[in-house]
Amino acid sequence: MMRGRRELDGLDAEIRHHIDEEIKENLARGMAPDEARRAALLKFGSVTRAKEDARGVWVSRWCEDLWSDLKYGARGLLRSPGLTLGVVIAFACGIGVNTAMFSVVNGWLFRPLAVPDPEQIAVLASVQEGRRDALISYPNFEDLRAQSGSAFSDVFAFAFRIAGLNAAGVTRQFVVGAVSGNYFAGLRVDAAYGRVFRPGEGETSGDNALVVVSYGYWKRQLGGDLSVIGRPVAVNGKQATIIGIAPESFQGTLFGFPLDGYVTLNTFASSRNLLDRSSRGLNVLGRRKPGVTLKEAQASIDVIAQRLAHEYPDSNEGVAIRVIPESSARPVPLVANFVRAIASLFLFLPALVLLMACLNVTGIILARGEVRSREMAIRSSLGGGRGRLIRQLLAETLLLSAFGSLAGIVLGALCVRVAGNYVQRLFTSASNYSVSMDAGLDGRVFAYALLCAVTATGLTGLWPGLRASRVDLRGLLPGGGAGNPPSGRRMYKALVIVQLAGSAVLLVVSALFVRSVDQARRIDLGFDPRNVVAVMVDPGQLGYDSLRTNALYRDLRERLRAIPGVQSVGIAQTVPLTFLASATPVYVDGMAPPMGQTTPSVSFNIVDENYLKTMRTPIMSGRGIEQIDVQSRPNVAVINETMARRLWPNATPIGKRFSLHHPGGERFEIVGVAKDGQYKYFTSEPQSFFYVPTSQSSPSARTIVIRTGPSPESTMPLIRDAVQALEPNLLISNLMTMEQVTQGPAGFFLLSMAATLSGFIGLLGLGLAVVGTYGVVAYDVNRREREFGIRMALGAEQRSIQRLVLVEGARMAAAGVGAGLLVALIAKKGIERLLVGVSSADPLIYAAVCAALIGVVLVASYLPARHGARMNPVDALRGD
Amino acid sequence: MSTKRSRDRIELLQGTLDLLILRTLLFGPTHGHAIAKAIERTSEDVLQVEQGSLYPALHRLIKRGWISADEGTSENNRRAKFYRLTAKGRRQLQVETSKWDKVAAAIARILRPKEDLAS
Repeated sequence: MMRGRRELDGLDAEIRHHIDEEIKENLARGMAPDEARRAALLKFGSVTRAKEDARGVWVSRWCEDLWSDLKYGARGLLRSPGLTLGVVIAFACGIGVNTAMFSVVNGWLFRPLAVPDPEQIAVLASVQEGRRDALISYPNFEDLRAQSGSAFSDVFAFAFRIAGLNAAGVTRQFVVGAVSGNYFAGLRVDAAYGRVFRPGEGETSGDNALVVVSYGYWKRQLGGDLSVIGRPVAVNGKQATIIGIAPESFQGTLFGFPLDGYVTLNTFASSRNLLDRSSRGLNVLGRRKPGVTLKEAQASIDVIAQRLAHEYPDSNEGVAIRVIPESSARPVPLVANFVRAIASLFLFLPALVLLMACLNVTGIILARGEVRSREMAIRSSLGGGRGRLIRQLLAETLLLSAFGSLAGIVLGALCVRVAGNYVQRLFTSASNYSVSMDAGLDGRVFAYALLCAVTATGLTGLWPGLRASRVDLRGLLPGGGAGNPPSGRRMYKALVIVQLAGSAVLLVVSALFVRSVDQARRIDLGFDPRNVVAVMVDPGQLGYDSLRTNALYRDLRERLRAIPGVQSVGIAQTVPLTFLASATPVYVDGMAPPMGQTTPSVSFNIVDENYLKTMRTPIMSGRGIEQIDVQSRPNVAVINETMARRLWPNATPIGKRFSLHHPGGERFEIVGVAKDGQYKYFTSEPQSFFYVPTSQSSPSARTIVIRTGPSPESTMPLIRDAVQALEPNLLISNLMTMEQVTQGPAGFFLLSMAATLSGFIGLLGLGLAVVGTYGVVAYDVNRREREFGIRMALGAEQRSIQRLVLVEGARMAAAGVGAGLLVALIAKKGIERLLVGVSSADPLIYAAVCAALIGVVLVASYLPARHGARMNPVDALRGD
Repeated sequence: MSTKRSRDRIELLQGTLDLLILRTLLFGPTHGHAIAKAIERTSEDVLQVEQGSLYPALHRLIKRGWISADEGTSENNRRAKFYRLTAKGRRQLQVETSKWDKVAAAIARILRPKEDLAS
């Protein structure tokens, strides 16, 4: 452009000079001055065109034309502000919903780890029948690391722990990854200050325990003081040294939880844990060598897994190890598919909304195009080419979609921020650790929004453009253009039908989710969450041994019992719906697992004599865990109904025995059967579960459940005070009512989120369908005024005209809803497993959606029908 | 007005104007009007250049880097833009000329088969 400007400078003078020369020459040939000038100009041709064309060499003509199209379009749109606003709102809704949903999905699933070449990082997940975690034992990890050199440049591991970090006498909560020495080397992350762990460091119990703190934790909790490097601290009471600060961008490899820091593996693990092949506690990751495909990596890991299964059948029989790209293994490897299914559903639904918004806008623009057929005819007769007219219309759509998209992106970002804050509050409210809901706008979100906008523009602009520019010059004649080409009406009907079909799909999906939540809330939890407060503490964070831990819980129970209004206090390792229960293989005397399979794991809880009573978990037969069990440590257990049914389908389980961990392990006698309920996380499938008394094991982290009077919230501050009065340094990692727990991430949260979102999207779709249908029917009635006038003049009654319009509306509704329900039925497979207690072919839902949509369409066409029937036939016939 | 009558004149083929400009500039830098005259003269007034179209063509050639423009003084002491062939333009002229020869020969063969030429 700049260069062009310089070259074009003086073009005028040059042309003048040229013509002067020509005149001079002509004069020299003996022409009269007038004649000489005329001949020169004639010979030169159009000066304007020469200048334009020269300009056109430098400045694309197309651009200039587009600019004028845009200017003209903007003027036109300002002349009909109502229409403009409607279209912009439709676009904003469509693109806003898509931007918002995509930015959430993007933040959760697509954003790569903040490490170099993140696509090389893969998760090595152990897969075993009956187990849902993908964890790997340290000895297996060591073998994987040593033998996978052909495909992986590094294989490293971390275990997640909520610990206490004591620096300068104060204990603070410390959410850490206990990591293998080569963790940072494998990720290729270097320290911001100090150093990170070196390969091999801290993996034997004799070594010193080392700490790398995250940048955020260092700034927030340690005052951003560089002198912390080299300082001795205690992690859960164990001496350790801070050796470095991780870079700000790196927050660890645990999905959803930014880590406060990293410690060497020997910080928590006893030497026994590091040697035990069946104690699975590590998340293992690897960095693929450049050029090694996923398939090749998987093949090399398969060989190792087979070797391990052969050499150590006790722990490794039937265990496969899958190589999953890190980005496909979120939030945790083996449920990633489920999350992906939800994510794609929630990308698909907004796409459907956008499609409907587009159809809506198309309808509006088409109608406007017909109104403007006169303008088009005039422009065409004045020499406007067809391409030029299409471009003019495209330019207008471009303007509309540009404003709409902009509004949509802003709207979407706003929604995400509001919703994100809400979710963050919900997750973080009562616990001390934060959850990252990183759903900000980044390049990918903008690219997606842009893609949506471009698609929407193309969809809405081109078709009406093509149509409106197929100009009929007869439109210029008086009364012309008011005709009623049947092809046009077919198209309008198609528009309405597709919109209704889309709306039907959206409504079915959202109704399924809403009903699903409703059903889920009716499922028996197996305990009574009302008026129960749960407190999670871990004296291990202060370095307590098991003796002091037991004493602390004893004292704590007495103090909590003394709070007015408290009815009972129970203590357990975990409470339901917190993701927290552990699991172990269960071996029954005389029952061997099928060949080639290891014994399935069963989740369990370690409870005192008051836990089941406090939670009001009914005992169906036998007895619960009693005081005597807790004091004298007999090997007793209470199992749930599902476990009883699965293991002893034809006999009473009371008095039967099973052993834990390995076939020859200690035997437990079953003394009772408890009612089924919900355990680790909410699911509609029955789960096996059992309880053993606290005398069996003394986990340092436990949850105290307190049944209070009618308002548990008012007791919560007293509970906090009681804990702090006993041990001021003890961190309460969670203090919430059990009802809050049931609404949490392991409870109904995902379902209610899905229901809220899909309900919102469904209503949006319904709204768009109503507006779209109303618009098209009203427009159609307007165009048919003449026809109605004739009918009425020939003796048709008002009512029959109304019926004409209504029947047509009902027909469109039936076709649209029918098609939509068909699509929903076909697509039901996709959402079936996301639902609880509802069949995706639930007839009630289909009937309700049908009725709702047909009703809405009838109302949307009744108003125009009444208008059509009320007009004066004479007016209609007179026309222009 | 030209000395030849209109019907003897031939409108320029698309793109040939560029070639002719390059060829004209081979003799040295000159200004727009002189280029137009030179083309007319050397073709003995058979080729008609609509003089206006000369200027877009000149700009096209500048953009491609085949010619360059400098301020200069014309023969009758007026300031004017002088166009000059660049090295790149010189090479291009060779390419275009040989291409033109081939095309012309091919067209000649089609329009006038051998026996026709012999007669």
